[in-house]
Formats: sequence, C-alpha cells, structure tokens
Amino acid sequence: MDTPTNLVDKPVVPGDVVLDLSTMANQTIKLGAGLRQDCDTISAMKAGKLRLSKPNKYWIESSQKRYVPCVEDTVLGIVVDTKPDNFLVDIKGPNLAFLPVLAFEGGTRRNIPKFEIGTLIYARVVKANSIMNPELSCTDAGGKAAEFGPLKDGYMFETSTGLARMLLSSPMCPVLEALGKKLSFETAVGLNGRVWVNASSPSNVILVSNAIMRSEFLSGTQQRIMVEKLMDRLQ
Amino acid sequence: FPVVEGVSIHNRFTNLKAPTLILNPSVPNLPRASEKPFASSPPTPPTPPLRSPSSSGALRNPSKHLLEKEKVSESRVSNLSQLALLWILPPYCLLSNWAGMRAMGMDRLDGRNANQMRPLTCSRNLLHRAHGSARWSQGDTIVLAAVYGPKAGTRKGDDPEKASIEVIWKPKTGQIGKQEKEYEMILKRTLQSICLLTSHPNTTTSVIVQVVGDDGSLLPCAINASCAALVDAGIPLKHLAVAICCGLSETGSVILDPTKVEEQKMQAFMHLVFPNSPLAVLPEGSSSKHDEPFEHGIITSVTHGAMPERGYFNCLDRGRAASAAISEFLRRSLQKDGS
Repeated sequence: MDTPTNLVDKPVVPGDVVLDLSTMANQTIKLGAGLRQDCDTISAMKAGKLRLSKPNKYWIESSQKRYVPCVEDTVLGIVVDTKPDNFLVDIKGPNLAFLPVLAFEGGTRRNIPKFEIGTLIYARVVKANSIMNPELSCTDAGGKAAEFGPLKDGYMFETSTGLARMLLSSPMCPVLEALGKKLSFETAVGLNGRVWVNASSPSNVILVSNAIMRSEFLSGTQQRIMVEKLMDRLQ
Repeated sequence: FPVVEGVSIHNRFTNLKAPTLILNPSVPNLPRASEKPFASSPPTPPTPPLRSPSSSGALRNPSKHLLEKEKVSESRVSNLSQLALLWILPPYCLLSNWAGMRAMGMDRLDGRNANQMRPLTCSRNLLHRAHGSARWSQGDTIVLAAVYGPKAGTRKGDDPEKASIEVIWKPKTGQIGKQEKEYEMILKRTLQSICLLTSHPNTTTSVIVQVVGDDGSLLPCAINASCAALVDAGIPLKHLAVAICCGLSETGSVILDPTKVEEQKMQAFMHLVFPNSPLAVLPEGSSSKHDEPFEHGIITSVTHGAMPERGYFNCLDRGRAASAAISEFLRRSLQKDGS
C-alpha cells in the first residue's frame, strides 16, 4: 500500500493519520472538526474530506443530520422548557442548550420575554464544549438584536448540516439566487441543519422549501434548471 | 421387523441397550425430526441426509462424506477454469490461495472456493428519521442498522464521564430471547471499543439492528452494518471495525463467510473483528512505537464449537487477510456520496 504524502482535499475515514507532527517542529496547527491528536500524529475521527485553510487550519468537512455545537455559530432552536433563569432550547445536538433570560437586547428582569414551548428562535452559540450544555444568546457581540430572536409565521424544515453550510456560503448558492430572481421570500438558515422560510403566500413557501430540499446533491447548473422547472409549474 | 421411522428406532434401541444396532454406530445424534426413514437393517451405513447437523465429526470416514457431498453439488471445476474465474470476479469478493485450495479440494455448495466471500453491498443514509443508517448485505444475509444519537443522559449504572452505547437487536421473526441478548452484548462491547467515548460524555447513542435476511455469518454482517451506520451518523470513531466469519472443518481446512447450511456442517466456526487498515502520511520505515502494523490487532473473537489451537490461529490468519479486502470495500463505499 503506497503511503500518500498529502491527504488534503482527499476523502478520509476514521483512523486515517493525516498529519505527522514529528516532522513539523515549532509550528502552530489549528484543528477543526473531526480531527484529534494522538501523541505525535493527527488522525481523523469522522469520514469526510480533509480541508486545509492556509497557513495552518485543518478540518474534516462532512455532512450529518446531528449538530456539534461550536462557538459563534448561528442556529435555529426550538424552546423545550422554561426555567426561572434560562430557556431550554433544542438545537439538534447531544445536549439541550441554555438561552439566558436576559440575553436579549435591552433585557432586564422586568421585561423577560415569554416564549411558549415550541417557539422557534434564531440565536448565536456563545459557549460550547463537549462537557457542558451549550449556551446561546439572542444578541450579537455588541449587544444589539441584529435579527436574532423568535421567528413568527413561516415554515421550518430540517436538513443536513452540509446543506445548511452550502446555503450560507458566499457567493450566494445558486438555488437561492435563482429563486430570488423570481420570488420574494425570507429565509433563516441555522448551521445546525434547520431552515425557516417565509413568503407572502403558502404556495411560494412550499415552492421555496421544496427547491431547497432538493438542491442538496445537485451541482450549480442543475440547481438552476430545477428551479426553472418548478417555476414553470407554478405559472 | 418393521422399520417405521428413524427416530423411533434409535430411541427404542438405545433404551433397550441392544448389542446389535441397526443404525450406523457412527451417527449417534440424529436430528429429532428426521424425515428420512431408514432402510431395513443394513449392515452398511446409510447415506446421511444432506442437511444433517454438525455430526460430521462423528462420521467414520470424513473424506468419504465430503465426496458424497460433492456428488450432489456442482460438478468439480478444473483448476484452470477456476483460474479464469479469478480474473472475472471483482476484487473485493474474491481472494484465492492456490496451494491451499488444491490441498483441500473442497467445493462449496454455491461454487465458491474456500477463500471467497459472497458479494458485499453497503448503502448508507436510507432511513429518514434515523440520524445514521446503513444496510449491509453479504449474499442473502442482510442487516439494517440505525443509529440515534448522541442523546442527553446516560442510563443509571453507566459512567457519566463517558458516552454509553445501547444496542437493540431485532430478529427477523420470533420473540427476543437469549440469542438476541448475546448478540446485543457482543455488539455493544465491540462498538464501545471503536467509539471515542470521551468525546461526548454523559450521552447515549442507540444502535438498532434489524435482521432482514439470515443466511449464515449474521453477527459479522451486523457489526459491519453498525460500523457503517455510526460513520453515517458522524459519531467520532477511533478506527473502523471489519468483521468476518470463518468456518473450520474437521480436516482443518478453513472456509470464509459460510452460509447457514455450511455453518451447521462445520465442526467449528468463529466470528472475528479486526480494525481497518488506515491510510497514513507517516513516512516509510518510520519505526513508531508499534512494532506490528496496525491491522494485526484484533477487536473481537467469538467461537462456536471445539477446534484445535492450530486451527484457530489458521482461521485468524485467513480472517485477517480477508479483512483487508473488506476494509478497502468499506472505505470506498464511505467515500461515495450517500443520497
């Protein structure tokens, strides 16, 4: 078996050794999702593609149905329970997340928002490690609301994390661009694999949701063709 | 003296402890419900029924028994045409050991040689609600595995500093009994050794295994399916697990991936689970702490039946060689996009 010199941008499975630290001395390497350090080697924990962002960031790109919470991710959570100090929010991760009752713009003890069980919330992950429950916040780093908060009306559906990342990529992903040329709608995409769509009429909402759900494994041109076909059926 | 049914004759004579036995003395444990009545009092041994349980060890003339079996199975293919078969069949379901095969000279009922596995298929991401799912088939043995998790909370007795894995085995028919509990325990221990339990402390991952078809080599098929389902769900793993079933006949010859019929005829068979062979960017000849390559480890070994020590190690070697091919197949199927 020939040993590959470089596994970057190649598919790896759990157990593959992707970096040998004994040959790289005095370098700082940042490890992202899916990699772990095993004495002198870095090996993969998940199956996916190994990516490198120069100079020193390595991670494994893979798409799952569950979410691993990371700091500064924007997620869509569903309120599961309310406590005196925080709301318990489900973000499709291994643990329930806490959303402090005061983590809203201008939040004081006097104007605590009242969320029912089942409310959809767009929030930002503030603390996340594997041991504790993650913590969310509905303000950005400067304390402003910045579109965070509960989402009313519309329709929410679940996708894989890979599709959510594709929808949030810049330049804008082809399916959203093609839909935006003909229809007006608003979407909120959570990196935990939840997408919320709202439009003026239910048929538009259904059309946008279907287009997004079908676009996961299509290339750019295929996505545009699919959107055109859906539009033709509407008119 | 009317001969009515094989079973009743046997019972009657053993009860009376008659000195002269009508039956062939070297076939002591007949199946309880034998459909085949014996011919009237022959001193020569009757032909044993084709699907007798593993009493082959007690036969007086084992090679003769094998010869009879061969007559019923497909006609013996010459070595040359077997060589031709080698090149036609795809690599991952064919391994061959020429010297060994000529020495054994044994044909299997479905025409495979001793080192040949049944065709493997693996498909992932089949189930909509499960967080990870995989369907693994080896010939007619098909197993569907679904993974849910990680979910918050462990069960009462388990260590909260580690993730816990719970396995539910669902047989194709019938109620859940001791055999299923045994499979669950073996599967749980195997999966616990490949998962990184400290990456998600205080969580539970559930693995549900549904048997869709059972034609021998069921436990290895389930282990392969569960491993693929864990990868599909994104559970962090140390490495992959590759499982294989080896059967050992009384002559000492090893066959891989036996069918249900073959398993019942074997003197002993075992299920072996090895770690997969990883790709590594380590430089050639780097003398790491491991003196042996990684693939020489073994995760699980479950044996049924009595076998000599040499036979066990023989099976281990064959199984390890075959696991390299399965590991390559698993790697390729994991790299394809699931849809």
